[in-house]
Amino acid sequence: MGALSDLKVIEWGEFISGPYCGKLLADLGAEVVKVEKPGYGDRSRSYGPFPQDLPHTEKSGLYLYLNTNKLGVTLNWASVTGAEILKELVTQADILIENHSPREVEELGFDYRTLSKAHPGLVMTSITPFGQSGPYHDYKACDLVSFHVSGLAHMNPSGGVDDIQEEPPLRGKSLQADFLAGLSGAIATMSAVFARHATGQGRHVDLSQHEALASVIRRDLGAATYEGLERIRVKGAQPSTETLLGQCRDGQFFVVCNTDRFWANWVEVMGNPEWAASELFQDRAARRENWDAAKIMIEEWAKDQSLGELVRAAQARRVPCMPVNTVKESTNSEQLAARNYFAEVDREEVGRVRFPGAPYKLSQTPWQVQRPAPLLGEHNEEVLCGRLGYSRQDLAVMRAEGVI
Amino acid sequence: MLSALRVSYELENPKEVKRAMSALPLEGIRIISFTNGIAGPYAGRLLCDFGAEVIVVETRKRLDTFRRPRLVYPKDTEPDFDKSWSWAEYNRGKMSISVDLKKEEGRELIKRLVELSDAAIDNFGARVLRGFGLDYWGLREVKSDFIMVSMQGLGQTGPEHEYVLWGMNLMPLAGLTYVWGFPDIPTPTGSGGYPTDYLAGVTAALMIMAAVEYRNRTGKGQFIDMAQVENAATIMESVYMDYTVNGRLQERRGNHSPYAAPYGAYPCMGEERWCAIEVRNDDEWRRFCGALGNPPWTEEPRFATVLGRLDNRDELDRRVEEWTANRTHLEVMEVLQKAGVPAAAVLDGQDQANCPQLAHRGTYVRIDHPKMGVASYPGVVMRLAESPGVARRPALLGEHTAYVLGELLGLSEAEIRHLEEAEVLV
Repeated sequence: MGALSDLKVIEWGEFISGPYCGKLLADLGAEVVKVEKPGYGDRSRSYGPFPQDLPHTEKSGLYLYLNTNKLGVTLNWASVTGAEILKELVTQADILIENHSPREVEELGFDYRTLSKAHPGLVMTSITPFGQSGPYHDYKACDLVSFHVSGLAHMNPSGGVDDIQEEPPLRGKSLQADFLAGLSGAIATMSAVFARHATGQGRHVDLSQHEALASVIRRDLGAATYEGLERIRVKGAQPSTETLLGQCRDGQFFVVCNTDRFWANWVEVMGNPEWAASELFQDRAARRENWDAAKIMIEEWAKDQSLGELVRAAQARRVPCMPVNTVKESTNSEQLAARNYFAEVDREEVGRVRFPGAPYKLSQTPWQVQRPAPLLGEHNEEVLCGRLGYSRQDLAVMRAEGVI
Repeated sequence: MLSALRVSYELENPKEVKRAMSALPLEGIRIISFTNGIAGPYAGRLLCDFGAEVIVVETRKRLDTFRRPRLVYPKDTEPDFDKSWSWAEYNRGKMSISVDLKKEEGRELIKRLVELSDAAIDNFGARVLRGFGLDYWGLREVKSDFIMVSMQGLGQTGPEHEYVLWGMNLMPLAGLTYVWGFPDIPTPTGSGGYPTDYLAGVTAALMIMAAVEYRNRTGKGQFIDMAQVENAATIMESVYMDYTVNGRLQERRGNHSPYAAPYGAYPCMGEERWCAIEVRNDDEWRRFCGALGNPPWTEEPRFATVLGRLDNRDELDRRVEEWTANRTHLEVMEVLQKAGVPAAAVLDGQDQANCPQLAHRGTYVRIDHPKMGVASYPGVVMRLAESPGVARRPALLGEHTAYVLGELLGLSEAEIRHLEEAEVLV
C-alpha cells in the first residue's frame, strides 16, 4: 500500500510537466491512468535517449522514466466518443492533471467550471507556462523559455569563464524548468486534496510554471527590492569566492571554504603551506578580496593530488569537499549503491533499463516499480472494458474510428 | 477567473491569525522545523503558506547561515540577525522560538512540543539531531504517529552519509555541474543559483503531505529519508539514461540543443539584456522569419530545414543576433510571441518585480517587517482558486518563545523565567 493509494488520478498531459506531476503521485501509490493520443502518444516517446540512438515509440528513455507506475490508455479526445470517455474517466477519479493550453481545454469543454458541475469533488490541476490568465497567458513556452524568463538563467554562468559578461545567460542541462513545474503541480494538487477532505469541495489548481520558477531566484528579488541592488552577473558573486572547482590528477573537486574553520582545516589538508599564512588570507574579508590568488595557489597544489585521497582527507577534517562527478561516477557510486538508489526495469520490448529511482525513502510505504511505463494503449481493455463497461467489440469499432 | 485575493498579516496575535487561516488546506497541522539555509526552510514555507503552523527552532548560539552577519552587502553598519532578507524570504510566515538544544531542559521542551505536533523537517547535519536524541526514532517514542522528513545531502545511510556537504556540492556530485557549461572551456561553470535546494524543499513538502494523508487514513506516522543529491539526480534522467543505456557520457553544450535552431539566449539592446528563443520545427521557423519581416537571408536554402539550421547554427546565430541587438529584450519577446514563436526575455530580479504577468497573478506581495520595513516577498507560489493561501511576515528570532511555551505548552511564568535564567532560551 502506498501513502496515496486511496487517490485516483487521470493524467491528461504531454511531455514533462504534466507527466512528472503524475509520476510523483503514482510513485506515492496513487492510481494514475495516463491518457495519450492514439498513434503517436506522448511527445516524450520521440525524445530519447534511445538504445543505439534508434528512435522507437516504446524505447524513449525520457518516456520510460516519467511514466513508470501508471496505467496507459489511448483516446482521441477531439472526437465525440473520445471526449465522452475522457469525461467518464474524470468523473470516476479524484484528480485530473493536465498541461494543455487554456484555450484548447476550454474549446473541448474540459475547463474546470464545466467538469466540476458533473463532479463537484474534482481536483483539477492545470499546469501552464504562464497561468490561466494575464498578459502572457497565451504565450508559447518550452523549457528553455521557461528557464530564462523565470530568471533562473540570469545568475549563470557564475564561474569558470574569463568574462562572465561576455557570455549569454546559461541554461541548465536537462529540462529542469519542466520538472520543477511538475513537482510544484504535485504539491499544489496535494494541498487541494487536503482542502477537499475538509469541505468535500474540489478545487482548481492554476499552476503557472513561470511563477513557480520565479520563486527559485528569490534572492535576486530580495536584493533588488530590499537592498536596491542591481544584481548583475559578476565574477565575484557569492558562489565564486571562497569556493573552488579544482582539477586533480584524476578528476575534479568542489570545495567550500566560507568559514574560518573550513579554511583552517583546508589549509591543513594542503599540508599547511607557507603561502596560506600570508595576511592576504588571514580572515574572511581578506580571503574574499584575494580569492583569485588563493585559487591559483590551491590549484597548483591540487593538480598533483589524487581525487579520492583529497576528498577523504578533506572529509576527515569536516571540510565540505566532494568530487565533481560525471554520471558515470555517480552511477557507480558506493553511496548510491548502498542506498539502492538506482532502479531497473526489464521488459521484452525494451530490454533492461536502469534509471534514477525515487529520491526518498518512506519507512512505512516504500517506493517500488509496480509496473513499467505503459506501452501505448496497453490498458485500454482493462480500463475501458473493465471499468467503463465497454465491450471488446466496442473497442474494435473505436479503434477503427481512430478514437483509441 | 482567478480570485485576486491577496492577504498579508501582521503577526500581532497568533490566535487572530489562526482564525483567519482556518479556511486553509493544512489548517491544524503543526510542524517543527529543525532547519537551516534554503532547502529545509523552503519546504516549511510552502507548508506554512497553505496553513500549517510551522515553528522554527533557533538559537543565538548557532545562527542560521542566513542570519549571520553578512560580509557581502552590508546595508547597516551594525549587523543584525533580524535584518536578513534571505532568512526572511525562506522563513516568511513561520514562528520562531529560541531554544538551546545542547541543554537537557531545551530538549525536554522540544519533546513536549512534539506531543502537540504532527511532523518535523530536519536539514541539520546527519549527526546533529541523532546526537540530541531528537531524530525520528527518539521522537517516535514521544508520539507514535509522528512524521519526520530528514533531508541531508547524502541521506541517513550509506558509507558517506556523514560527509560534510553544502548545497553547492550537490550539483557537482549529482553530475549536473559536469554537463553545465560551454564545450570549449575545460571547467564546467555550474550554476550561481541553488536550484537543487529548491527542488529538495518542494519534494520534502510533498513528502510531508503524503505522509500526513497516509497517517490520516491509517493512523501510522513514518520517517522519510530524503537525500538531496538523489533529488538532484532525478531531474537528469536523460543524462543518466544515455549512460546506462548507451554507455555514452553527455558533454557540455552551452545553450545549444541537438534538436533545434535557433535556440539559445540572444543579446538584445542594452547591457546584459537577453532574450531566449527556441524554434523547434519548420512551422515555427516560418513564423520566425515572418516576425523578422522575411529578410532575404532567411530564404537561403540551407536554413530551410531543421537539419540545415542545425548544421549552419553558428551563422544562423549571428544573423539572429544582428536582429535582436537592435531591440529590447521585451520587444523581441513580444514580437516573436505574437507570431507564435516561443521566446522569453531573460528577466533579472528587478524585471521580475516589475513583470506585468507576475503582477497580474499577484506573485509578489509587499509585507511590513518590524525591523526591515516594507519589502517585496514572493507570495504564495502555488495557487488554489478558493483558498489562495496567506503570505505572512517573517518572525524576529525567538519572537514566539513566550507564546509557544506559555500558550501551547502551558508553562507558568515562573517556569519560563527559570528557563531564561538557566540560559535554555537563547
